[in-house]
Amino acid sequence: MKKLRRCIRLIALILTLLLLVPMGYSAYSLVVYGTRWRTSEYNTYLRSQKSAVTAGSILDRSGVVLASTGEDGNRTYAADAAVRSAMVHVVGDSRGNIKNAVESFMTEYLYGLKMSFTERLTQLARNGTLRGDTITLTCSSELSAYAASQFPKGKSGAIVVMNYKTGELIVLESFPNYDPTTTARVSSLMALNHATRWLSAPGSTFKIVTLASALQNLPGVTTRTFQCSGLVDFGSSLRMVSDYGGGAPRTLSLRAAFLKSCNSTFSMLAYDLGDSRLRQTAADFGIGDDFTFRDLVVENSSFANSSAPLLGADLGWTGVGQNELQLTPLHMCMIASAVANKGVMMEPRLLLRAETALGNMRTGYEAKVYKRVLSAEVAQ
Amino acid sequence: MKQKKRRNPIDLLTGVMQVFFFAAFFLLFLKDWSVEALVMAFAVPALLYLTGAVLPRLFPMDKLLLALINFLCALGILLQFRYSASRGFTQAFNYALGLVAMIGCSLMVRHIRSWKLLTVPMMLASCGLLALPFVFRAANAGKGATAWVGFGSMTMQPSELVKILYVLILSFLLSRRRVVTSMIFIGVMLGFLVLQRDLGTAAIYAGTGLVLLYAATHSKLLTGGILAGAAGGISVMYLLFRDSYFLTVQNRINNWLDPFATYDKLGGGYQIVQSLIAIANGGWWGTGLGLGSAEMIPEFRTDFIFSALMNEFGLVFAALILCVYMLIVLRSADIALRSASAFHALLSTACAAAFALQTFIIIGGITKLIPMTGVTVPFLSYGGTSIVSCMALMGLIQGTAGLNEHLLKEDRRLADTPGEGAAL
Repeated sequence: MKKLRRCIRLIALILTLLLLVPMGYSAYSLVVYGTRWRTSEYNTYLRSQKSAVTAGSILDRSGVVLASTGEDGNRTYAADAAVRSAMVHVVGDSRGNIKNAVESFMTEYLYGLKMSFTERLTQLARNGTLRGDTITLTCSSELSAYAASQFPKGKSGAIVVMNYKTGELIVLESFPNYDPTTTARVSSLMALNHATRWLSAPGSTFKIVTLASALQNLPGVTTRTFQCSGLVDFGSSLRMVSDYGGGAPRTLSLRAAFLKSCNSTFSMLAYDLGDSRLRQTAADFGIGDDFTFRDLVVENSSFANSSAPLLGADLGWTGVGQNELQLTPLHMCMIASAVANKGVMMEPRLLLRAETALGNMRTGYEAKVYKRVLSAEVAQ
Repeated sequence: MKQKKRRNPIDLLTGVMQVFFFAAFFLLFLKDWSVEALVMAFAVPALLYLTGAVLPRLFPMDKLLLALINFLCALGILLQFRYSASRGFTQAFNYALGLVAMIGCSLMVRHIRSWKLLTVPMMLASCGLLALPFVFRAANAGKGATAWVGFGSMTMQPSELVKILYVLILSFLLSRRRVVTSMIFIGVMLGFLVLQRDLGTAAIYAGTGLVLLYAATHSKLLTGGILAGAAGGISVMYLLFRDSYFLTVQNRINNWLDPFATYDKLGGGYQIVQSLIAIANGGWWGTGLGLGSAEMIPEFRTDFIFSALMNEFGLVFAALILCVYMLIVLRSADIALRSASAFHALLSTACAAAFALQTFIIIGGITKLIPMTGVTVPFLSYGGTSIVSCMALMGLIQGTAGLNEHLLKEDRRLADTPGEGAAL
């Protein structure tokens, strides 16, 4: 009986702890995913809440109105057509074509869901209606419109400009874009935010990661010289890594090879590093992370389709940013920014501040370190 | 002998509960001016008084455990009533049925002296009952599991009732150290449930069996070995039946990993997504009673009732409700520790384990902690079978508690030297 009692005590303890787990987990997911769930297009409750409140305005960082709701209750967008199109993937439109744009993802501010009971009463007493918060974004509409005008017509792609020290997104654009006031059907290509949702092989920009991994893991790599030969043959594998444009073989230092973006050098480096070390550096840079940023929904990047080690030419091609690598333009911008910021990756943000309809500050800008990806020395 | 008349803390607890339910139903009355809500505002506190204060006088039972059960049942009635008054009344009726089951089970535990004769008939009965769904299929048995039996318009889930027999049989066998027999019995029961695709219930049965085996044999090696064996067995089964049986399981796992991706598919993540949205809409403090949106979840009255609770009352309140579940588990363990015989100790432990596992499996499912399997939330979900089976489990614990009390009194009477007994 004594042993039995001891077992029962242990069982009771385990069962009690078991019941704690779901609550701990749902508190965690409420903090991390709450906004994503609440602003989901499937949330019908939110729609009913919205009808009672006039949505707040959206401004750019210099105060240009990007979206506002007039007395008649209609949502209007920026006065300048170029700005309207350039900002559409950030702001969204009233028809909800763009998933997780500010218009839907920041519903909590725009529709005043964060208002306290007393705040609602004060607003009703003063204005007779309820109005949501005014949001100021980190983006510059002027720069965005200029960048859009420089983008080749008819191509799809993205432009991301980020303040690497604070994570403020100055320009976040996707092409093809459209005017949110249009009544025409918006194609799925137009509705896709290429900066945050479009996964593709990043190409030569990924050499930053290969270089960082080499600097960390291969001692003496800075003094080695490399043959930029045009072709690298990976033994038994028939596939070869070739340099873009071919050209005569040259001998280059690591620095020069990076500046020339020499494919054969970086495929050799990847080969020397091996799968596990390159994969580790990639993971340090956030490839494979579950991104849960406060202001943005960003597709998660991946290193390869499976966790089986990459060999030979596959590894070589990965080192120059091809093969199965899948990254978003925004993530590539974060990687480059992290190197500029001495190895510290900042959380990308869109929300500069939110002010209540009564003129009080709801929330201000607060830069947050996403992760430290490199030591300052390697970043130098 | 000082006999200061102190207020019983359990009476105080009941008082607080009465105020809570009065306020809740009164609030619903103010919202719609429905007479039914006003009636309930007085009826539910009265019911709590009757069951909490009068019942223990007639049948000896643990008052704290009873108060906690009553609270959860009344909360279940409130949650059902809030969405549909008539279902609230039906739930109150189910609760009354449950009380009968609880009293019946507690009397059974107190008065049946020899379980030996009953074991074999009980084993046959559980096999027979679990085989029923293969014979009579309920009309609405299309929800992934074929664990329902229909009689005309009534449906029931035999596995809920067999649970009672299951804990009784295992506790008896293991108190006599019949480890092999009990393992075979567990295997047969699990076989039935797995064939019915009732994986949530199978998990409850398996977990309860494992807990009992550990408690009875005290062997971590055996318990760990069984766990490892089960994991191996499941892997082999997976490889064998990957394309037939495990297709539904695979479906469930996909819905768990990313419910939003399978939202639009048939049998996809719709329910879980709506549950998560309901939880997120509720946030920390809830939308408020009567202001929620949990109707969007198709099964919000039964399996997803806890999402509805989290939606309207918020996460903080839901966590406190889970604390009530925890208290029930702890109190049951306490009763098990006090019991004089191994059979009764094991019985209370088994009931507590089945109860805790069921709660964990469903609340883990609706919060996307584990894959969703359809089991009911003890005391809160709508439905007669669920309430009756949970109350019956509690009845088994109550019977043990009554027996403990009886033995304690007996001891005191035997050791009776004037004045000493009153110190307790």
